[in-house]
Amino acid sequence: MGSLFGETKLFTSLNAAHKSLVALESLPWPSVRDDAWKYTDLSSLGGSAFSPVSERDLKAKDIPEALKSFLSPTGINIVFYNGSYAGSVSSLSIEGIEIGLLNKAGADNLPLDGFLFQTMNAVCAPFAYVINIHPKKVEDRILHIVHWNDKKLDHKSLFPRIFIRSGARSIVKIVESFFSKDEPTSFINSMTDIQLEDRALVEFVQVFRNGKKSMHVASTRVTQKKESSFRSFQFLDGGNILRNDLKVQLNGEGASASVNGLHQLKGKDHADSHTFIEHVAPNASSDQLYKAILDDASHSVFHGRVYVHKDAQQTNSYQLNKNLLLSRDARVDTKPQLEIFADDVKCSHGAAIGQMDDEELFYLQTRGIAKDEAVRMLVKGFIDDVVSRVKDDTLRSELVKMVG
Amino acid sequence: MLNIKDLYASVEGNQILKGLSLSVKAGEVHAIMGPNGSGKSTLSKVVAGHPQYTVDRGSIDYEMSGGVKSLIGMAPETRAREGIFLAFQYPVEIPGVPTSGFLRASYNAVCRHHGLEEMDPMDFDGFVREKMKILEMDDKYIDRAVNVDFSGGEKKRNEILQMAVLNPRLALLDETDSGLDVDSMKIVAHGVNTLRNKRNAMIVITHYQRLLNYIKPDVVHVLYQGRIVKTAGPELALEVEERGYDWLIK
Ligand SMILES: Nc1ncnc2c1ncn2[C@@H]1O[C@H](COP(=O)(O)OP(=O)(O)OP(=O)(O)O)[C@@H](O)[C@H]1O
Ligand SMILES: [Mg+2]
Repeated sequence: MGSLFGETKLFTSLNAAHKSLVALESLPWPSVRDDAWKYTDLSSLGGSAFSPVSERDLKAKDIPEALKSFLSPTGINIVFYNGSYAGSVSSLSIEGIEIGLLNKAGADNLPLDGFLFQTMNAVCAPFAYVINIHPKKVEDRILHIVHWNDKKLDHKSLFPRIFIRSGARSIVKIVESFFSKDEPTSFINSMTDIQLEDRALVEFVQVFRNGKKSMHVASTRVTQKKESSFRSFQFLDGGNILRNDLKVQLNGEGASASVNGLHQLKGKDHADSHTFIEHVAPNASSDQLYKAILDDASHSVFHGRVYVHKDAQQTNSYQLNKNLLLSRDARVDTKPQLEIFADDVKCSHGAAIGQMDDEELFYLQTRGIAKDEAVRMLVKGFIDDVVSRVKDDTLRSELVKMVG
Repeated sequence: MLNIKDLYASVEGNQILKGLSLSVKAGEVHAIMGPNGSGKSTLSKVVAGHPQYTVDRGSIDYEMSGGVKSLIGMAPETRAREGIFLAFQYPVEIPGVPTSGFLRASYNAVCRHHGLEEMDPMDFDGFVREKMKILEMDDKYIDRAVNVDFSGGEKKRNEILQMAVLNPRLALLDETDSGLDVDSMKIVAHGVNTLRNKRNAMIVITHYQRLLNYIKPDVVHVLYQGRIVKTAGPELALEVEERGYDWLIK
């Protein structure tokens, strides 16, 4: 197993197009011996070649019908097809929201935290896409950021890079979806950055559905200023590799974050969510619920880290990870981790792994409900319980539509 | 209606019921009393068909649509559709499953079984609200997940609501009175009494004679160590209340 990024086949295949990747050559390639990658084996990714997609100027006729029908007719759409911006099906101008490309020089100036995949994304992304929401802008429609791919992405790599800045007191709902049709064997390394200014409110839904053969490493970074409120829901239906890193920094006093997710896995699906909630400022709160439902020989990983800085007094932080196993061959690795350096805080965390509850099943059966129907009801209940954390009705029904 | 003969049943290798016999006819209300751990809940679970409990010996016969049948080995949902209802001593919380949808799924499953037409959500909503009125239950419970965030007493009331919706032929009420305040107990007892008629029967498990002032039993049994050790009229409950069980056991 190669221990440096430069020694991997992945590096060679990307370096052909991105000469500046050489700078990352000597960074270590994660192995299962690294704590952060203990349960997600990247050796098949390192050993594969994925040539970068060449960006194209898409014409309306290049857009497949299946992509068009995927799009929301009522929302604001920002669409990428196999990595290229699809202007003909995207919404162009919205009052109070600027959408545009950030040139590479600009992207390179943004801070990186040295994490290999994030740095790789910064180097390899052909452009960064910026969504700037003006202060006090209240948008009722859902903003859809759609990364839609198909078989043309086979053996190719994709580096989506999105920056969202929501101005002071703005209110928006955003759905970012990664969707691949016909199961391309692909590598996606995505980066989504969301900044919330004072009192901004962002409801954010992310959907990862790239098919069984995809390898996707996704990073989402959120920074929150004073009294801003961030609510997120991540849906992962797994892939060959699906690693999701979500970092939320509560930098402003009184900020709140509700961070939720669902892994719905079957077959040999693998999904790994690492969340990192950093309480920097006092009086802030975070609430996390991640659930996984696993069938067949699927594997779910959850690592939830909460870090409360010394000055972050009066922090409220709750974290819960619940796993429902529908098969004996499914596997869950869960690790809640609390690091608290302030003394006046309320924090709790927990994890549960279980099978379908026999008493719940029996209760439903004693009411005349057949066993298989009872199982379906309990599975749906397990899912609805976390999906209901998406408070906005249209956003929630959009989510249900996409995951159903 | 129900005929249990020389029943031996066990759970996880422990013999709990040891030669229990009980016969209940249509129109009757039987009360079962007995010390903690004597097997009252076990009996109710065995009749309802809990898969964890095994019948080792004896018979349980029940008069259902196609004539008298043995309940042994019958799926719990089939028993329920044939009119057997168990009000749980400890009702189960089911997160994520709304009470309204659950009640309707239950009601319609029973309808389908009898070849009757299902009720649509609108009609059903009105139907349930009528039943809730009898039990003086607030409308808000209908939108909550089944038994989740219900107080102990509210859970018990919710059991009787389900009984009212399903209108069973044989209802087993396992300590429905425990956890209820005095007023709630009257309301619940009233709800039960409105369901009582000549064609159905009830088995009321309780520790307190108080409930039996409101739901008047025809027969009172004392269960001890997995067997019925005494059967008499309503006066037996009063005597138990006064003297405890010692005199019956020794
Ligand atoms: N699942 C189980 N596994 C092992 N033992 C059990 C199980 N369920 C019940 N028992 C045992 O069976 C015996 C009878 O229990 P049961 O619940 O029927 O008593 P009960 O008469 O209803 O008591 P109470 O008045 O306290 O409700 C008890 O000793 C109990 O510990
Ligand atoms: Mg009991």
